[in-house]
Amino acid sequence: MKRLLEFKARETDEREIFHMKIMSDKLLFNTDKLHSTVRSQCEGVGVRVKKNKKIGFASSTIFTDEVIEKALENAEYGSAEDFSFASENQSFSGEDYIDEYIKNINTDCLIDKGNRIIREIKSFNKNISVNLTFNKKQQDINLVTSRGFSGGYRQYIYKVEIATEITRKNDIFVIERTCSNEKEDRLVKELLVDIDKGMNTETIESGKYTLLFSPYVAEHMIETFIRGIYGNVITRNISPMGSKLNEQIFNNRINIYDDGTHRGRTGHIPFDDEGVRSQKTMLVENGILKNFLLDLRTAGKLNMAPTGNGLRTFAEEIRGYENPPHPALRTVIMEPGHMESETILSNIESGLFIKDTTNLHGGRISGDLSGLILLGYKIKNGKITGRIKNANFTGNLYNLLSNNLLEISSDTIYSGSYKVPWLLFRDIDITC
Amino acid sequence: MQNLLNDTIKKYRHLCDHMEIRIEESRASSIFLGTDSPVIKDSIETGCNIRVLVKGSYGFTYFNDLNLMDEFAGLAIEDAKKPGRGHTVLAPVPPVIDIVKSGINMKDIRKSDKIKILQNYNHIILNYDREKIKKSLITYLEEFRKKYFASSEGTYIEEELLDVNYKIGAIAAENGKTGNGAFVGGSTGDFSILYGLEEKVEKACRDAIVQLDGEIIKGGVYTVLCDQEFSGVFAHEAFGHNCEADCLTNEDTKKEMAQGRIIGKKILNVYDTPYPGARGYMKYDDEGVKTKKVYLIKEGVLAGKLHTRETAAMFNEEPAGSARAINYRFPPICRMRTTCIEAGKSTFSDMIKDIKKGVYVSGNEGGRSGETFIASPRYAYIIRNGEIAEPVKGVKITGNIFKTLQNIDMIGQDFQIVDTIFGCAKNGQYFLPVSKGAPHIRIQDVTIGGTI
Repeated sequence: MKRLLEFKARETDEREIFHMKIMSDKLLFNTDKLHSTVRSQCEGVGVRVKKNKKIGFASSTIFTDEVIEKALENAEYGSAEDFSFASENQSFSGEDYIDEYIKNINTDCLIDKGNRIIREIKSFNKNISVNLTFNKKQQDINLVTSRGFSGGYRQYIYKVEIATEITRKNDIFVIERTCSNEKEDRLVKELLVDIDKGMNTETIESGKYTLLFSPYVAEHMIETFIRGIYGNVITRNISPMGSKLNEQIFNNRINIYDDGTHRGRTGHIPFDDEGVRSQKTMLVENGILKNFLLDLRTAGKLNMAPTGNGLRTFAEEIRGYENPPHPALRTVIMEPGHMESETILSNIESGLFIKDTTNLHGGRISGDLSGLILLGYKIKNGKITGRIKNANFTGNLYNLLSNNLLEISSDTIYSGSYKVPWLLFRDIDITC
Repeated sequence: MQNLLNDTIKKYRHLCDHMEIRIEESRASSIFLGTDSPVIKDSIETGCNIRVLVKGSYGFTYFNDLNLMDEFAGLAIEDAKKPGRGHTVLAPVPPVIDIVKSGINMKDIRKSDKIKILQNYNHIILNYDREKIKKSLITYLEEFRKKYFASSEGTYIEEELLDVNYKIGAIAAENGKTGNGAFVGGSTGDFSILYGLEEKVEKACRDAIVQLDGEIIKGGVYTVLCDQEFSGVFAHEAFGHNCEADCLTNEDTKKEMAQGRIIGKKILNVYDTPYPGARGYMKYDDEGVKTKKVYLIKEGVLAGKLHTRETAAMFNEEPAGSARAINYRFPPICRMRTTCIEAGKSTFSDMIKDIKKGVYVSGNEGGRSGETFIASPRYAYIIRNGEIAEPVKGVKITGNIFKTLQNIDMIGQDFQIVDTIFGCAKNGQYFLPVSKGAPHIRIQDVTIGGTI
């Protein structure tokens, strides 16, 4: 990295070198049996240079000077930028970011665990087939800049994906669940409940319904909002949120924040991918929009402080050296309400419980949401009566979270990079 | 490189039943214009994977540093021996030795020329209608990849592939309403698809302005007429994924989706094929199998599947080159190439004239497969009494594989190959270059979500 910092140093105003090394172990169980193991070791650098105020980026797995040459070439085409790369050196304990439980997971334990989970699910119903993936990663990150920043840390990530399939005549009932950096027991218990409740199917008519959204669906909803407050859509003037800072955008019971210091999640790292210290950022307070999610560039453009949200993600999920930093979430948390989700459900006379949908976001500009209900149940007199199929949901995020919200549950779960409650709404359009 | 691969295989061959090594060298560029700052990035990537089969169990490793070849070959074999596994068998294929050149010298195509072309399109958009057109969005992606593949059966293949894809669009806004207009394109090996797009750029601007007037569609059941691009994605989501053999490993699902099941009318024929020049084309798949055409549906009857060598053996069928991996970090799985609905006999006017109330959908903004599948058009318009009328928004076409395919009642003559931006996502491998081909199709009784 020192060589890359120094090569053609006089041709650049500033430069930044991001190095990432990933070692991972993965186990795949297909149709109830261990199918394959995957082991890997990959590393690469992402380089940003600033030349005559313009930024250029290139990445490489090969640590030659060509990556600097490419970044310099790309800088010719950029626009003038007002921000500088990180300079503040920070001291922190790298140990705070190491999850000992994940660190100590080994492949042989996972084989036993996988077989145990499959036996447990199949003992419920032998016709269920189970696909299961365990993925443990060790990520070593180092960042240096020509302005004097130097920092690094190690992070462990553990992800479990379970998919069950049970097929009867004209009915292929698939459930897919994922958890990150937590024990998979909750997932398995939940799956068995969903399979049990989903064996009976119900038909419904199109109409307006009282809907209880699981946290998995709440995540999709809030994601539409989050995508509308990233710095790069604010600076491009393609989000309605750009002009709504300190205005009421949701019901006053809604509080949402992003937290790079929230322990145990993949977003818990000491600094973002540009060297900005992690922080908690209030986004919505009592329904009022308080902040955007900003990296160095967009903070500079908006004349605001960066929020430590400059990450090198691809498609909102995978972090890698191949991407330049851009605004991305760390862990987004919606504060809970006052009533347990089970109580909320038991109080519904007639409605639907939507467990999972396709991605809902129709547009970050309008907030329109529509999608297919992948797993949903009919509720009658506070009880689930069966699974619904072939139904679609339509709504608008800002209307729903302002005018249609009835309850926010007191219990929350992690869904991806979100920690969200159950949400109850009235009068939502369902077409089937 | 051939010596490195063959020497490694020779060294470890006796410790496993089957061994493959795949090395990839990739150079990719992307250009994003129309943002407040242009973003241009380059990546240089080299990686290797080793896949071994030991008594029916797979071990797979991948790494960047080729000096680690021996270490990771050993790890793959050690992992493959772990107990408690299934039993994988591979369908036999003949060994091949081939070197496939793309004929492209990347140094002949200058970045500055590409940027100049795209900046011209950007200028057209931003000056088309300064009152209503607020933003342009231009994404251009290219990747030149050279793959080296060797197997313990004696296969050695080198293949060069260039993938190019783009999306060019405009956003209109007026009185709190917004409208998007865009078009997409792509190819394997042909940069010239980027030239001469001025008329399409202007059409995208017109479309964005027309979309300003679109209201959210009223939910209900409609007759839907689909253009070629949308029909292509329909084929991909409704048929294609459901014919990938690794999705059919549950015994009961196998029976439900068995060959011979009637899934559509006799006019319906669907195939997947390597189409030279289209995205997703390659001469050999990532298991070294020569790619060829496979019928998935023939005269409305489930006819074939997309296989890896493993699934081909499970189903006792022949692999046709559908085993693909997004890059060296992944093992190959069953994927599509160019998925097509074969041309039929109907004209466009035949298909629209007796639709009293329906929806015309065109373009594609993605989808998802399953027993119930969903696909999003870029544009949608109400059809009223045989004529295309006002635009509508929020349209997502959903269907059920056991019902909706039976409702395709007309297939057009106007077949087109359609290349789009990004690609297909499956099992964490995205975005794999794929393309589609289709004519207009008409589907009866389609549920469209919307306002009640």
